Amino acid sequence: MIEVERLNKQFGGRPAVTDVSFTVSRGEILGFLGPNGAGKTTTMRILTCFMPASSGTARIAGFDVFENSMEVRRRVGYLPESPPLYGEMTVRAYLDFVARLKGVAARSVAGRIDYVAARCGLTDVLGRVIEHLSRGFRQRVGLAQALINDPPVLILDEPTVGLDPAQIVEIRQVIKSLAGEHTIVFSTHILPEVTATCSSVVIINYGRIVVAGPLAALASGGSGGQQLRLQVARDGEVVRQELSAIPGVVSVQAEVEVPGAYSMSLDGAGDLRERIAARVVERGWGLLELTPITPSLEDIYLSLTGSPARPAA
Amino acid sequence: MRNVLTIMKRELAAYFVSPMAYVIVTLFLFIVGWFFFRGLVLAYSFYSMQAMQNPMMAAQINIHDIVVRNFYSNFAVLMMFVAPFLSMRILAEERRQGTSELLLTMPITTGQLVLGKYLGVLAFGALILALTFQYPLYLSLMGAPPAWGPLGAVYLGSLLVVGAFLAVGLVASSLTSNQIIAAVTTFILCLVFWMIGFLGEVGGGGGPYSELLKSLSINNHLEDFLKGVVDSGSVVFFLMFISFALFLTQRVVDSSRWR
Repeated sequence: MIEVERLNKQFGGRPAVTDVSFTVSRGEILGFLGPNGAGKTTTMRILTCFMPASSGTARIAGFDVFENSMEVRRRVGYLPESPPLYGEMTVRAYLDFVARLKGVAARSVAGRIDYVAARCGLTDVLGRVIEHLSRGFRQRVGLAQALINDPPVLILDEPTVGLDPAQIVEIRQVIKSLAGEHTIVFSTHILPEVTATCSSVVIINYGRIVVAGPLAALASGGSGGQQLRLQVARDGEVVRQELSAIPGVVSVQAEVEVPGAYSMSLDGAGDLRERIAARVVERGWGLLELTPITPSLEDIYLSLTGSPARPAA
Repeated sequence: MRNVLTIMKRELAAYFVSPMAYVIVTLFLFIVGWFFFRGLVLAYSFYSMQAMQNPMMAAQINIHDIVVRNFYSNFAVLMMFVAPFLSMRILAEERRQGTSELLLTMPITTGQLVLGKYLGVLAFGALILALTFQYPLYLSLMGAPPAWGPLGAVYLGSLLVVGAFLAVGLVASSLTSNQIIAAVTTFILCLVFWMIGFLGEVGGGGGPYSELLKSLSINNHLEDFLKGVVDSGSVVFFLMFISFALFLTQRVVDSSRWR
């Protein structure tokens, strides 16, 4: 549905996006992940025909964003980072305006407004002036606007930014419910959002794609070895020493904040959990917790984008 | 065309929800009322008194030349101050509030967008002009009806001048997201096109570029209409002036994509 090939964009010689290529198939939700200023918005603006690329091509539903701009614009619903709203209009008047410009037939405009309002939870505020709505409702109006002409592709730039946790969950639910009938690309710098919503992910940093692929493949493809978290009731220097001595244990690190808690790296040959548990019980240290840690998307993301993993554990 | 009308309607409606428009119109009516009072009561009565002594002069005075003509000449000057306030928000505000990103990714051409915006503000300008029609009506009610034919020419000329000012304002508004800068730029450019003809008069008006400068002047072209004459050359001047401004705006908006 969306094919991006070697996309480049420079602003006055400074590259914003370099050699970005990815594809999104019909009905999929793609999470576009990266720190602020990584080139997410620029890529999305190219896809929505807001600005042309310096080089490279992007096709949506088979139409080139530059050559067949009008065809692409008809097929894309776009929610920019700050929802493009006219504060002085009522929600209904605003949606009516957008619907007409997007070519919704005059007789079906009212029906479409009611439909997207129901879909985005706006039915009760249709008569309200946009200026007086809360941030969460404005975001929904922005989303409703993108949906108004039932476009096959939705491009959403940080749709949950600035919302409170309850609103974030709601917006995510709405986006998730749209998958299948629409192909969705949405950007974010919040990791759990991707895990919660997307089927595949593109991580971008400094304008380049660092990793791209289905979410499941990324999550399992860790560093090879296994990670364990262990907590004992009666701590002592001897605990760390004895644990390190177990064959197969690569390193044991005490956690500073929680006394008696350790994170252990294993070499991944065979399951050592049983042996470790037996040792702890045998010494009478009091086993409180033994958890395998699968590398979270967060770890992958942070190790790839090169920021520190956590404020020194 | 449907897109143009949709944009125009929204644009026009936006004026009626902001207090700005009401403030401007009230102030405008206040000043224009003073112009009318001065023209009719002060100037016309003064000329009438003189005409009582001088029968030659009495044969010459008429309501069009003394009241109507001055009134609409003053109207045009006043619009030079009003137009920047009407046009300043037209594109600058779209940029500031981020709605330009919506408009530029919709399946409409930049030309349709610019034309719709312009017609919206022009409709509001025409509405202000229509409000001045009360004064010729008063004259008529008071038993001194103006010459309706020449008045028609005056209205056509006034509409074209307002259209030219607003077109300049559209260009200025497309160049910045700061409304104050847009308004000031509009005013200065309008003033330049208003007065550029005076440069042609320098040194007795025989300079090599004198004709060129005079024919670029909005003021000079308006003069014909105020006399009650519809000069096709002047009509063409205004239409080309406006078209060129719209074309420039379309280029500016389109080129903003590349920056």
